[in-house]
Amino acid sequence: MTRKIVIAKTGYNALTETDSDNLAYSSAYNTLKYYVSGSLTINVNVGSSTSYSYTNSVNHNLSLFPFHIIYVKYSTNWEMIGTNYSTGIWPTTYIYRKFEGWVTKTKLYVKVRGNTGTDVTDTYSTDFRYKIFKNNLNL
Amino acid sequence: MTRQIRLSKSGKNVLTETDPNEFIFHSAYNTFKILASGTATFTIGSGLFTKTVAHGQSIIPLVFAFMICDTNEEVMLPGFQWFNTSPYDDLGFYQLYVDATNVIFYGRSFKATNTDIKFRYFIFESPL
Repeated sequence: MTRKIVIAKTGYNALTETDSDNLAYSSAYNTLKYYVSGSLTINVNVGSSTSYSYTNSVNHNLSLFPFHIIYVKYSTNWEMIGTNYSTGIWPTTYIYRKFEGWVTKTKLYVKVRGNTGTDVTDTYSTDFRYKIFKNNLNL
Repeated sequence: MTRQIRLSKSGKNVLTETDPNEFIFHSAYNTFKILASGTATFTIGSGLFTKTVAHGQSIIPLVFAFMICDTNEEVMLPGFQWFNTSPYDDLGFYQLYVDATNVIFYGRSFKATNTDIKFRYFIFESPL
């Protein structure tokens, strides 16, 4: 018989409960191992008719691809990275912004890229918040 | 009185601390359990791709996934369209979906030839 550490929620029997959602902890399931969090910023100031890409990064030095989560602040909202926005009309007043993130075995990267139309410029600052876990993606 | 099991961070009083972030473990709060994890590899042609892997859960689970670039040097989150710098401008992992049966990976290859792509996915305890 495999031995386990099980802590049930109040009102549930740790010895008999089978729904994992009713267990505060069970050693039968892996969990995310929180490593570090932080913030990164990228400032953009581009002229008209410009295609741009700016990157910022932070070292994690884990020598593996870690599980990670990145949020980006756009306007007043914090949202998961990967979103994009566009306004205006191509090719004159069009503005496009895209936010992306990735990791290597030593660093976490964030990126903003976009385009501007012939009659507009674009200036903004983007804040990112990241969480890195020690869980190895094994990719 | 409800009994609890608590492990506080170093320097924090386990009996008086009230901030959940100052605990390594606190039985009053559920842990974010990983029910399953795996890798999925597909061979794709040029253009958009939609690939699936069965999650095997009786509910629609909360999922998360990553895709490794074919250079094997970067791992991207969903929402990634492409690297602007050559030679990384050829694969994108646009979106991650889940339904009652499958984890679904949606993206695009800009390569002219077939490419092997690989994902790591996680299935978490909490149903959507």
